[in-house]
Amino acid sequence: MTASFNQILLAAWRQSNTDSSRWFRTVFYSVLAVGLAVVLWFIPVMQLRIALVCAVLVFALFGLWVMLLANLLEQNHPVNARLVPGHLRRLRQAALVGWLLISGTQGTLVWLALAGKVPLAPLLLAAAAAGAGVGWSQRHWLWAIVLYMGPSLIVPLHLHERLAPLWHALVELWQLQPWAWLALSLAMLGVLLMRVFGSGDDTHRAQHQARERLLKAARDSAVGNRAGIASLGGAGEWFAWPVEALAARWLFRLLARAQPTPASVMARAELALHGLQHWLRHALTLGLMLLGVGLGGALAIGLLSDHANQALVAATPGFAFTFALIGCMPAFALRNMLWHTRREQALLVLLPGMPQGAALNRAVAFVQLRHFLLAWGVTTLLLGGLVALTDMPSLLSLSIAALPLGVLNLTQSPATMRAPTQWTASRPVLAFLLACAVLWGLCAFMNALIWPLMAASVLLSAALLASRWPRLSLAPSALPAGRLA
Amino acid sequence: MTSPHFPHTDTPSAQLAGVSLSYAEGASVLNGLDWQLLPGQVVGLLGRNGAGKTTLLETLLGLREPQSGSVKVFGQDATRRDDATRARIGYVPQQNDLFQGFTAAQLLAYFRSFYPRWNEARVEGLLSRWEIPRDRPIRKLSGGQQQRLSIIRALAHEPDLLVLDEPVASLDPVGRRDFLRELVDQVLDRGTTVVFSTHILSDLERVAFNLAFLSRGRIALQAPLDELLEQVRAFTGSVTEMASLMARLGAQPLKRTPLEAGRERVLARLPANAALPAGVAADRVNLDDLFAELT
Repeated sequence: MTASFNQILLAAWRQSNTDSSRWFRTVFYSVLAVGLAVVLWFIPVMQLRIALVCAVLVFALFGLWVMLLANLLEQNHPVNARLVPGHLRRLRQAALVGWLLISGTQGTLVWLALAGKVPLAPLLLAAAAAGAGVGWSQRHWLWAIVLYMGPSLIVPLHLHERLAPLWHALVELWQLQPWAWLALSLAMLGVLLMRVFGSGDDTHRAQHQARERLLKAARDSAVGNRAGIASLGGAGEWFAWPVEALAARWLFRLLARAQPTPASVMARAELALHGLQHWLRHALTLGLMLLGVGLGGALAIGLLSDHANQALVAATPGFAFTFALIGCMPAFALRNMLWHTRREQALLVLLPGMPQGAALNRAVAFVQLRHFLLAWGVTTLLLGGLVALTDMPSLLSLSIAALPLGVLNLTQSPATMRAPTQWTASRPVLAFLLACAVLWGLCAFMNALIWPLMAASVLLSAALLASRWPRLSLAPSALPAGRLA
Repeated sequence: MTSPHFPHTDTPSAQLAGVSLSYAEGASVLNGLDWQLLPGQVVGLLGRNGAGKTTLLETLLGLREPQSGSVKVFGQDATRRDDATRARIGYVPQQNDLFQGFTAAQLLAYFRSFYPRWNEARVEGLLSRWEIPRDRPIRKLSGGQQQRLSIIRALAHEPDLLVLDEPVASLDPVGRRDFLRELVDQVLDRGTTVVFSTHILSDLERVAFNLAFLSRGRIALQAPLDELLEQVRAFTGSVTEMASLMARLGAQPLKRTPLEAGRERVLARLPANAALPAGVAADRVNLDDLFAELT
């Protein structure tokens, strides 16, 4: 028994100890340690220092539990559950032991942080419930929404008032025998946690496949091959249905009107070259997101009649950032998509009417820049609207940062492009975030005006385009991408 | 034919009775299927692409639950087996489910910890003979090496029932020959019941003493290979001639194919030691013909 238990824990460690995770962990923990040390230096009160350290440890343990459980579920293959003796049982035991140890420690740390002002038993129960909730959110992503976003509806829906009698009755009952109730609650939560592992049946198989699909989508996304929301399984496919239906109609229309002209050929090629980043899918995703935000805003106004304005203003930077990130995504993603569609490109270059050589280089750069500049324009208009509503001109720094970076990224020679890695795929996004932070700092602390910055951004982008466009004519033929890397 | 060293018993290693299984999309894959595997049998499962071979093997192993019928392995319900019975089963899936981040040594150590019996000498021997690097991550091994590692894992705990789904699909001819030799050794040494699906018929001729043909959700025919090659004949004639000939010979028609002008071609299995009457022409059939006609 011990041997298999050790192997399961070793496997969890091996699976999470990849080169990229080591790099991420080193950076993350270094930043966390330095940040914590600096903050502790400035906190004079010992109890506050203890509370802060406890809080950091609680979150670190939460991360450890998420990682441990994810790895145990990765080992939980339905074939092994049915065919390897004791495999499923050992996985469940490992999860149970990990859950009890981690949530017990978390509850105790919170109790210490609060200097014993709140009894230990409910804190242990809360930590255990959060840990079990992690299990169910890993079983299906929809549970994450229910468990972590559901409580945010309690106040808007006035559930705290409606359920107050029930809550008081439960508290009274709890106070009669807190430790007995804790034991009973832990037993029930333990059973729920065990159910996350399935039993090797068809449901287990379906869930394992959905999980594998999600992990693959995450791995692909990390190297710039972004998956659509259909990768989230049944519910994702349902949400993606309008986009897929319209994209299919567009494809049909394009093929029905196909001509051996450069414009027609490039329009068809664009479907293959950009995959899920094709402009039509991008526009529809942005449109659906706007619709969702609009409906969410209307709902918020309905639910939070008194505080709706404040809530919407508070949420505006978040909305703006999300719009900008999705709107300007072509600048960061299109070039990577070229790498992931290079097999199709080998066939596309043979199409009658396909431009060749320098003309092909210009055509590829043109469709990418056209997509990006249109998306950038729409995003800037949206951000302008938000600025008008909230009087926060610094929101436009998102647009200002994206323009030159997009032009720079999309005018590189695809033929010499190297295989995207996590680092190269995230580098443009990190550069964008850094530029946004600098611009926001200029606006906030140095009172720089946004409109001159916008003009400078446009001028810089035009200069970049003018200098780099002629080089495209001299570069090797663009497709298939990456063949000269 | 069974292993010469192990007495034949009538208690089946695996038994499927009246098994029906349909997918959610409505496609019926197994249709009241009856099948049994006796101890020490080596059975080659044949069927066209999409016939349901993988589904059948997965159902046999309890990885899929049929809508009706019963599946028993070593006398236990396929979906409710105890650990001792699980330890008697080895499985090589069509698609590798190996932990891609592990090395071969780590993977084998992982599975070794779950089995009460593990033939380390054999594992080491196979790793060396099949030239599988012990310390390279599995994702960096070739498809053939991954497949061989999957086979080693399935053989290591010396199962009494070995189920292999297209085990040689990604092996080169030398790899296939080595694998088949290992399979024969396993049967001769331990009397293991082996069932495997493949499309490479020449491999079946080397090791599969019994063939099972899966067609339209049922086992259309299961018989020893040498008997089939000896007894199955193709006859051609008018429908009435064929009916009387079959009755006269006591032959079991396996497939009738209508031809033009009231004639038909009948694939039939003659009784053992039956002699063809003078003047009756019959074609011998090979394994390719049997596959084409029966699946």
